[in-house]
Amino acid sequence: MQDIDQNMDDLFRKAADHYPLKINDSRWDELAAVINRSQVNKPLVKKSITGKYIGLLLLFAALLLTDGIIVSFTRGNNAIQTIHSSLESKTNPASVFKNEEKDPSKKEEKLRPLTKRYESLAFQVVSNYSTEINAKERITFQSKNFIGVDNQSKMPAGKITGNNNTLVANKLGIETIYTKDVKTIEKNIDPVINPGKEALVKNEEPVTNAIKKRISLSRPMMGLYIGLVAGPLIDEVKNQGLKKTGYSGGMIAGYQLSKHVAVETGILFASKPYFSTGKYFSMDKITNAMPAGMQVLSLEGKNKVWELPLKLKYDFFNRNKRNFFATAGITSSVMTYEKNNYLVNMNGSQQTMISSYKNKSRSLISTFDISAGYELKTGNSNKLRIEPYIQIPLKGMGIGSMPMISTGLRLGITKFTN
Amino acid sequence: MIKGCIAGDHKYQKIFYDQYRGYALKIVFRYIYRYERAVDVAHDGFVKLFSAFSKFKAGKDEDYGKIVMGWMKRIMINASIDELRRGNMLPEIGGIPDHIWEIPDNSQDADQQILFKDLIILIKELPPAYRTVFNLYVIDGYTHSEIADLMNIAIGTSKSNLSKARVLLQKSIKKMEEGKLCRI
Repeated sequence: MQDIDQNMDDLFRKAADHYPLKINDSRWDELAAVINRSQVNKPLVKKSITGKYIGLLLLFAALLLTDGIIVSFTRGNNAIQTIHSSLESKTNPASVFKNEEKDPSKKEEKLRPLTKRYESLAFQVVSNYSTEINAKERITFQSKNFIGVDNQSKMPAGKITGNNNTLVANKLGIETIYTKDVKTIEKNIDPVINPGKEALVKNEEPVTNAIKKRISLSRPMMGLYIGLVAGPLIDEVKNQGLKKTGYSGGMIAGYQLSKHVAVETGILFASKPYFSTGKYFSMDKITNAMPAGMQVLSLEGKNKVWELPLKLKYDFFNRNKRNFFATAGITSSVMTYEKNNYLVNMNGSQQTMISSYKNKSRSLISTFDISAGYELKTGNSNKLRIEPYIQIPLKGMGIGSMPMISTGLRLGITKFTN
Repeated sequence: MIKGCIAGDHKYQKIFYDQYRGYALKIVFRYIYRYERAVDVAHDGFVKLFSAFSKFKAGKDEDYGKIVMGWMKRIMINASIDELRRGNMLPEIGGIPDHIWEIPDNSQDADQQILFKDLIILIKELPPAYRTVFNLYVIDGYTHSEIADLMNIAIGTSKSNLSKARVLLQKSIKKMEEGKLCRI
């Protein structure tokens, strides 16, 4: 019986070696294209991310430094302005105008050189002025008039009147008053914002004091705001490294509950590339779809996620134009697409496999988010923000349930609706 | 050529492909029932082979050819088994078309070629699990232990499948011979 089997085996071996199978047409072009693609997407090169982290930190540090310089500069200008104010107050302004009173025909002629004479100083005062208080709605508008002072061609239109000590421009109900000592003071018709023309015109105190009065009358932005944010992100599975940078972006909305506290939500789309060794990839969800005995050695992939954050925002330095804030909250996510490039060990040899998954997977409270950021007011109701953040996973993400930490930077603009 | 393939040079890869694609297809076709599918599996096998060629290491130059062929055979077998697994080792239906065979009309070897073709058809008509074990053990020289690991089955199952495959093949050969006698 063994002989029969042996003979049969020999016969089949011979048949296997020499059976007359027609060989198909060459598919080399197709094969070459696939090889090229796989070489381009050659996976699994662990790269150090230290540089990227340092880059983010440097960016943030640079921002803080810039802000510090602005603050110092502003303070410096205030000092200059105070010095000028002191010098002005020491001279006798009345003597400058003495002759003009005697000859009213020369009044206009004299006033114009006077304005010019103090042009640069006026502009300096205005610069200080706008830097300090233009975050307040009405003051911001007024500061535009002031800028015009420096350039005669941009002098405010409207009725211009003058007397010994002041020149008054009235345009659209807003009076801009230039005093002889270049304490450029403006009065709005609204008595709530400005305490009164007389008080200011008679005011011989330094401009900084007037500014302080106005600042004390300002109100913080409150209520509903909306905005757009976008920025790069990096995803890591257990600090293993990464190959590519992703991005996220979308719309946010928030409500400023008090001067310091706001709640924020939004809808953001994120594309997250990642890398991991097989150690952190769970096969539970795909056991049936993968060949038995397959072991994932490593993978490189990308997913696309819609994120719905809910965060509490605390403004701990909400003053004037600047605001430093921190947020904490949770994010729910809907993953719409995932593609993984696996390096697997199967039957003793290493192979690559590519799988994509398009089934939507929802995850309620998938990450805990924390961030710290900086806001700069750019107008009556607009703010620019820069916000480095980190998303700490509360659940495994994707088909492999991997613990994926996202770190990124969001740049955005927000606008208060009221 | 092998060195060129290791370096990823397409020129040498093409030469290698053209030289060995027939060999690869004949390995895969013993496992995979449908010709078109076997062509695809062999193609996938080449993708894997060229992708991993940079990791290939061989000692002496003269061994290169044999080692690469052995390596390629292993990759093709693995690719075939993966394909069978994806189909859950279910038996295939439908016949094997004649146009896939290349039999010389007036050659001295024609009879032998026909015999070989018939024997291969007998193997292919085995249930996939029996066919795989028979191919692995008898033709490709795997041990039962290796087959058990490869197919994720018990060694006893491998032996049992082989035994049943032999019995089925013997019956088929008998039928085939009887059929030939009848025709005569």
